[in-house]
Amino acid sequence: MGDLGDIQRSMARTILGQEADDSLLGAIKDDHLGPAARLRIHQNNFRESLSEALLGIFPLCQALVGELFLRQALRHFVLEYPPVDAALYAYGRDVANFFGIYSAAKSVPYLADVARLEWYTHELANAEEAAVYEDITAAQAAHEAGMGFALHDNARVLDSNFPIYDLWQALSGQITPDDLNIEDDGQTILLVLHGGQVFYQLLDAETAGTLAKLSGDQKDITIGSAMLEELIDRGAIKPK
Amino acid sequence: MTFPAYIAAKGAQKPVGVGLKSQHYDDVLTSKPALAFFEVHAENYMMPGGAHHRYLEEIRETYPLSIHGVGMSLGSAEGLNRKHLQRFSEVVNRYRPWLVSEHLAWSRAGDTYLNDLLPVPMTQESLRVVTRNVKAMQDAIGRKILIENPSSYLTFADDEMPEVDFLVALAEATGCGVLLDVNNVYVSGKNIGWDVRAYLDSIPADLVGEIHLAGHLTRDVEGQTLRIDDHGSRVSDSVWTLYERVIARIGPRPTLIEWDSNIPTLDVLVVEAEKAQKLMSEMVEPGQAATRG
Repeated sequence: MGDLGDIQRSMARTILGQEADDSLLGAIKDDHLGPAARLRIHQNNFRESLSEALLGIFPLCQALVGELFLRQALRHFVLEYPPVDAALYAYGRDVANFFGIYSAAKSVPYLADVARLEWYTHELANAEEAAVYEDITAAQAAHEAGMGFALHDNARVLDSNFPIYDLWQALSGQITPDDLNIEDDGQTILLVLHGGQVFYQLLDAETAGTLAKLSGDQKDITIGSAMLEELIDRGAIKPK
Repeated sequence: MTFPAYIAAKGAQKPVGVGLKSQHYDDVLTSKPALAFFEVHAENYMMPGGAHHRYLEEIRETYPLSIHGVGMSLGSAEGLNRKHLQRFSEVVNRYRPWLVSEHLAWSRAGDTYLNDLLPVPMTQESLRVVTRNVKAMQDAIGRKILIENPSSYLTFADDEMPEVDFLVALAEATGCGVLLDVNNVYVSGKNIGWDVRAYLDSIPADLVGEIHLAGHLTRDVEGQTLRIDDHGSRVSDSVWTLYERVIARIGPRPTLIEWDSNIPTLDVLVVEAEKAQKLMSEMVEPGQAATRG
């Protein structure tokens, strides 16, 4: 085997699921337990430690599909999307998208949105809380002057084709599973970080639509003062 | 390397701490256990905000902290990740810890973080790489660090020196100290076939700035018994015996009980810490035997 960099690149490929190449196997001392078996300990450490860490971020997904299924799915995830950073609080953003294309989860199409909801929760819970924007008068003036609005740093919006708010309530034990009808219309949740806690608000279609327009790039939006006040009051927006 | 004065002082306190887990935050704040310090993984406090920081800010008002890194990848041939180094420095600057430590290991290759403490070949080339990286880290955070000996599951055919010699040479080249993980020495010794006592007897006393103790599990792999350093149980009797041997030779050192999986209630960790405290209190410190005789 070549230099230290060669050994490390080869070990990395092996840990990420490739067969160990002969030169790496030759570089590892072969005694009563062979190099391949010794390398498997590190392959296992990688998969298990990361899937365990992710499991802690997605308890509602676990409640939905069970620990066994979720662990297996996350093991696949970590091999396909290994972390790029040692600060693992930022690892897991892609889990929701992965569930959206994960064939084993095809029968649970709302799993991706539940994961998205949990990721937003995790993201907000670890964010530095920004100052609350609550100056309604200034907001009205800004709106009349044609200034745009953006989603507040303390807020996230999840617009789902599924009744995601009801799902959240059912999975977190606030309503019984019998009260959930997964065939119901889609729902939009506003998540807001306030006082160190993440709060979940169900938005009606009009509010959700306005918020989508306001937080997007669309210009010349007409909005009533009551709606603007409501969105500011909910902690959803701030002037751009 | 300069260690806190009271550690060196004869008849000083017996500083024993435990690894701080988020499951124990509230319990720590309400029960205020009789511990000398808490150790945290730097990477768990690199997020911009949130409950982890709020709790740690409060806990550090009562307890000194030790910041222990797990992701610096000091053994990486490609050098240190500048972004990670910056964030590590921010954690150190924010919490002003009593001790700072990292591992003799690597965990990064290109754009991938492998979340494991991977083994470094014991070669002159590795020594140059780790020396360069330890110097870079110490320069960035503006203080000396302790380097922890790894738990090993494999070694390399081209190894040129024993691990202790590597650590001593690293300390000479960089001024770093050693975080002696007695459980890791035991696990590696059993997995690789070293003489565990010879390892512990040969580590220079003045290099050891902290000791780690943890539990491990035993697993059968293809008919061979391997010890896995999972930090998921009480410290084994064999490791306690080795710990006694170490402190009898080198004297009291800050000692940490680590427990990172199958985490029990805080009082279980405190009982383990009390055991370490008792052993340190009962030992005859170097030089005392002669004066008593």
